[in-house]
Amino acid sequence: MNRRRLLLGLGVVLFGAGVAELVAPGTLPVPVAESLLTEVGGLTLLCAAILFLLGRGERLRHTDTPEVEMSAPTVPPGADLESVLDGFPGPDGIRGEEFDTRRRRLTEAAVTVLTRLRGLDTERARERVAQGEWTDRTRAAEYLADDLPEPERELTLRRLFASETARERSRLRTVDAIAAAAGVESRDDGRPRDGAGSDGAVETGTAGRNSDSGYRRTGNWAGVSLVMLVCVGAGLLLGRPAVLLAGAAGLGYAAYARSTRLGSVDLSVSRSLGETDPDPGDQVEVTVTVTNNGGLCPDLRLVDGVPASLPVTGGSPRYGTALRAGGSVTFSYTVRAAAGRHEFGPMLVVARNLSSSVERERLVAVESEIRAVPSPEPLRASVPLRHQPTRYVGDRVTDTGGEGLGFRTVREYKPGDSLARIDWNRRARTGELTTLEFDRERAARVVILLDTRQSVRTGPEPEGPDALKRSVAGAQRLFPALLDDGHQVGIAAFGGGECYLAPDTGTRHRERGRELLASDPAFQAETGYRPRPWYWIPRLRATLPKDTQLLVFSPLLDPKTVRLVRRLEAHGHPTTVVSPDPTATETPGNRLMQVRRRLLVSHLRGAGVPVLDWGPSVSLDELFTREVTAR
Amino acid sequence: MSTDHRIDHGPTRPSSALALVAAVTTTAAGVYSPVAFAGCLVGGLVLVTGLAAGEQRAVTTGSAILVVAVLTGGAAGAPIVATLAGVTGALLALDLGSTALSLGEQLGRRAPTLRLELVHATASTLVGLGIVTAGTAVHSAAAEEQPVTAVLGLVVAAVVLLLALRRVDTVPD
Repeated sequence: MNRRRLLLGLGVVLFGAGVAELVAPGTLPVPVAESLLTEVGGLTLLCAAILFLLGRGERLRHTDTPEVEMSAPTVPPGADLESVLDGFPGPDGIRGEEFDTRRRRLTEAAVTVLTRLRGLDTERARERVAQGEWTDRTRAAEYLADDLPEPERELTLRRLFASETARERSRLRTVDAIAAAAGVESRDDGRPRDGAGSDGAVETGTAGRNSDSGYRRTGNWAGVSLVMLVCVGAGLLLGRPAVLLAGAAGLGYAAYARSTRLGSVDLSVSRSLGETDPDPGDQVEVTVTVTNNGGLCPDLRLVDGVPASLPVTGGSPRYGTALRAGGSVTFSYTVRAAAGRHEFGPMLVVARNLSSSVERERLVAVESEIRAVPSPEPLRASVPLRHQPTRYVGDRVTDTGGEGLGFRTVREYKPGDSLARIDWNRRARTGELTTLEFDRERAARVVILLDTRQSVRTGPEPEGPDALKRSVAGAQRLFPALLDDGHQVGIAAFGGGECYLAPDTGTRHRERGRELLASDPAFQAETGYRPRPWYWIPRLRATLPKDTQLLVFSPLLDPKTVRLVRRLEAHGHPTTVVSPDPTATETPGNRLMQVRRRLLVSHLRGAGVPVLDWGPSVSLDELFTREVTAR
Repeated sequence: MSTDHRIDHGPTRPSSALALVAAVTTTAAGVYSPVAFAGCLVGGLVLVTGLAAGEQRAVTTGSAILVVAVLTGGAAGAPIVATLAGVTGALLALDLGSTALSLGEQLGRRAPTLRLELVHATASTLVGLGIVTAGTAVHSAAAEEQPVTAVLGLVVAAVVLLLALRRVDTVPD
């Protein structure tokens, strides 16, 4: 600080003396030789060169803003190949053995595919993999084979100097071959598609940023002092007053860059929504008003915190302006409402000083929420529930005869039969006393259980819905359909008792279910809801009433889920799984994930649990109709 | 607008246009020497390429070429005011181009930013005009034959002032 003042004072004094000498030559009694000019010029140029070298790595910086216009892209499961292999089922059970080397794990995966999907027995499969006969892709067969005779393992230079990336390549080729052996092939030559999802994670909301970044230099005028030094140096060396004086431009702008300050920025933001509870798909206008409560802000860059789950369809949620003290600005844009609850994030404000040399990033909190509760049309297809009699009258036809509507058979009268069920016509005709039997129709008690873990937030298309959204949408249609059929229906989510609606009937129950599915945090994409680890399972089992059957919505991506479903089934809850398929075939990891899911599905089916594999292009009606006719 | 792709992050148009105007001004100041004029054309072209491609490096390089070209003109005998105005214009083009780029990156082309850009451009241009005016005034006030002492005093003063300014932090403590 003191050194700066000293330099400034010295500079001003020298400048004054210089001007005085200029206007009235001879004021200063200091004789200076002409040659000194050249020396000073050279020194200045040297100084400029040093500055240039020092500042070469320096680049212009500015705060990056999130892509708030986009809705967060959906990524397919299986980005991490290692974790796909970790949960890969073994040839004999749902849980594969753990192996330390990648090659062993891949061998095991290949054996599993051969045994479970190609119908070989384990020994035979192991043999084929060891001998490299399981696939016609040479590289993959070579990679997993261990007993190939020595001459066939050609000792090439390429092999000797095989780098890590080369090994990684053959590993990926092997993964591809395993997927191909399971019938999973890439649709588009393995080339990644263009799109938002392909280049890593994209920030699509303002939440989670630093609330105040502090002051940062932007480097907007870096280099102007260099211009001045070059002008002065060159001007002195060449003896050209024009070049010398041009340095004034550098000096002037350097002073300008340093002299304007960025004061404290005090903004208040209000946000109003055209509609807070629209129907899904509606366009909602968002109007934002920013008022400056502090001093003049010459450069404000505003980015509104559009919920990551909502796309902007019109206007821009960004605004750049200058605001005088007390001034305010209003801008608006539209978003397309999606089903569920969507919280707006804080507004991101990047303020700069007049010369743009300093910037500061802040978040201004302003809360708003859009809640779009869908009014889904109930499913038309009949729901393939499991057979299960309860005490309640309903439309689930049971295998036992009794009271009901549909005629079943006639039997001999037994004392105690209701008078209403005696076949009086026959009694009048023949004198025999017989009893009519009807199909007993009973209601089922169903709990729709949704897999809401973070890992299910995946889907095949970047712009398409993820498995969670499809599950929730499916449940939204299934819930009223089951109620219409006279069943008692409840709703539960993986991850503990916070989200639970006990099975019941009635109009109010129907409304409560609709609301729960639309707004419970468990079903929201962007709330960062993390279910607790697995100790909630006993709790769920204790909460579920006896003779309740379960309709589980889960993409069935990991062995844990499969084991959970089997446990619930064993605990006396007949379970049906509706499994939205989120897998894709873009990368080898994606493809292996598809194989893994296929294995898990077939495992669950083998255990007697019906699994309805819900492809991305199939409607729930089609899926259920197909299932009912197949039975 | 597509809902699933990123917005257009190209440089904003008003500042880009103003940066071009500044570059043209600089080129006009380079007419005194054919070499300078050619250099200015090249610099302007690089600047335009940078603005079209949204590449900061090209914008900086273009401005640097403009500065060097104008100084070449000055060394070859261009008038003092033209040289000063040319260098000022080149720096102004750099500033406006960088502003267009950073605004495009941060807010995109669709966002309304005109007011911010006009305020920024006006301030920078006024500073530039001030510099040219002050430089011309100092030059005309000076005696015909400048004494070496005076020139040296001024130069050293300027360098010292610049060094002092480099230590000034616009960031408040």
